[in-house]
Amino acid sequence: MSGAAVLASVRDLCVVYRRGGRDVRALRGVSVDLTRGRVTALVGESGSGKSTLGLALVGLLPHNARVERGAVSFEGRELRGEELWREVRGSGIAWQPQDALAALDPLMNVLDAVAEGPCFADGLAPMVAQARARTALERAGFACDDPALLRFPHGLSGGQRLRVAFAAAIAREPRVLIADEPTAALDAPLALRTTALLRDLAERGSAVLWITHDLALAAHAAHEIAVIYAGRIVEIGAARQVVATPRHPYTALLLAVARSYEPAPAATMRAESGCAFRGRCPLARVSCATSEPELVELAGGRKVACPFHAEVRVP
Amino acid sequence: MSAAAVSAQLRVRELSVEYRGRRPWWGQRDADVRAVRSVSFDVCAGEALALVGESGCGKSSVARALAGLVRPSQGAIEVHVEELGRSIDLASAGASVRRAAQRCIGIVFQDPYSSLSPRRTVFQTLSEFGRVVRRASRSELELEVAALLDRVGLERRTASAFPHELSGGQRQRVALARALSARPRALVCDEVLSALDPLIQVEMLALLRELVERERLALVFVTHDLGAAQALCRRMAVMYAGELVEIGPSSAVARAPLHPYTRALFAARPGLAPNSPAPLALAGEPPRAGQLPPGCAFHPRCSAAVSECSTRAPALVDFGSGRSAACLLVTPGSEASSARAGAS
Repeated sequence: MSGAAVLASVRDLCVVYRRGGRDVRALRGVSVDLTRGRVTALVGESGSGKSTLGLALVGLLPHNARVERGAVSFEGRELRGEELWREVRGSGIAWQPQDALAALDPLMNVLDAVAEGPCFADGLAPMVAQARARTALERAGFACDDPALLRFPHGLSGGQRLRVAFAAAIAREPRVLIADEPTAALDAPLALRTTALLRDLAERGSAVLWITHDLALAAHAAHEIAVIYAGRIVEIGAARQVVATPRHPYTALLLAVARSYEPAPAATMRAESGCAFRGRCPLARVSCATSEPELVELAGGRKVACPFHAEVRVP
Repeated sequence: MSAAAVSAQLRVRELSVEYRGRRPWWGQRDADVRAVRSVSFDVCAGEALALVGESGCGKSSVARALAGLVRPSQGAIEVHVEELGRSIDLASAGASVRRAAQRCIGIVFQDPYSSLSPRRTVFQTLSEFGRVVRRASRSELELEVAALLDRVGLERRTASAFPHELSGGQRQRVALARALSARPRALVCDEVLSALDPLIQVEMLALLRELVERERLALVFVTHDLGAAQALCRRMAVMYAGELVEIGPSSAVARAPLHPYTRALFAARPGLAPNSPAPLALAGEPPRAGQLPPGCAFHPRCSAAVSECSTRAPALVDFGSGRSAACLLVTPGSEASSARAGAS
């Protein structure tokens, strides 16, 4: 029954970047399901593989990246090769980039920018495409006679740009939206409104992956939170519960920092073997150095990759 | 009162910043935009003041005016210069005095990726002031740069690196060291955290706190992150549509905001505690600086607004214990009841 509701999924994905003659592992066996009607927040620090996972889900990994193992599938179909991706990207799985100003064409007004996808990719007549664009913009919170619709990106406020990028991403009515840090660098009222847009999209039957830093906002607005560390999912579960009772020491550390604004122990060198987090972990012991813990399901659907999850204390 | 005024490192009086409207080739010049309207505050040495508000409220324009990047259209920015033993008004002083006084204010920008020159090593960036202004020798510069790197918590070998070899957090530390290289007594930080990871943000906050407490710098911390503002700054100033609407001790402003806008701003922030109330959306958008509503600029979005709010603009009223707010509906003595009404 849950299989039918899964729109996109990632199975055991390993991605390697080639940098300066060396291989850097960005994702090491990540599996995530994106389900109809749900917003999944992906939380982790810079370099944890958040954006790589987002890019892999739209088939836009950079040239120096290589998928070593695993695959992305959409509606049960494994996506391999650019041909298949072209069919799905934008119409099936859409991407909302982080930097809305850089993503929008400076020479196109808002209405044209949003209508571009429906017009050129879906081959709709310009008038029909414009109607689509207006619908998308309305859902993003623009009134249909808003003067902003005829403005160019430079003349919009930061919040308006963000909503235009959102409208452009949903104009082709994708089943899955990957939103890369849409609330970073936004003030609190605007961030809150952005999460309302994501929730609304999910309620209309799409699946949303929301990449973010903000645990408090994720606890409030997402259905599920997945915490990623050093290229692996270390904890995943219902949003409020993950924040109320973290079961992985890394989640607990993120929460402690978000609450107290006091610095956490710095990352030491990434461990070659064993648990990648053990250099910063207050619970680390000798056995952590030998094998990397697998994601294990606990009661209530929570999954945690730490054998000592019962000892994790709420900060 | 006067003693406090004398010891203030930075005194901003009735500061206004105007941007001239553009004139497109086909027609009339756009209306001028008053980004900052008559803002006043003091910052003492060893004190951090947070400047918070939504995007477009003018907080960055205040920062840029303090750093001398835009000329104020009205008002005064008085900075205490130790060498001269007196305060200099940046807005009215002559060019040479102003230049000397301006060095007392350092600035760090939001984006550490674009604010550092990609073609200079960290050493070149950090030694420029000493080389150009003080004509220091190479060995002096090396010592100075090493000391600067120590102060911002970077390893000394970072000196030979180019910005692209550094992480975002390291770059922001270099940007901070560059601001410190002119030996300022006041520091303006314009959204220095927003491009960083939360774990790096708190490290940067700890570093800034150390500079304020140990080196007695005066800090103006411009941010939209209310939590960071509270964690770092003892005082907080809230701006809306170019005006100061509330100023006071951070803990008091956060706990019992006087102005309805401050209240809405804090209510829009979700809490982390399991029993924290759901965040409340603030309807509407802030007005564009060229098209301010009459009366109180916040009244179209204010849930408590009465008809008088659309005709009469409120002035900043002193509530005692360092707090002031600009709202017609809260007056000294009535603030307890209005704060309760807002909370319910």
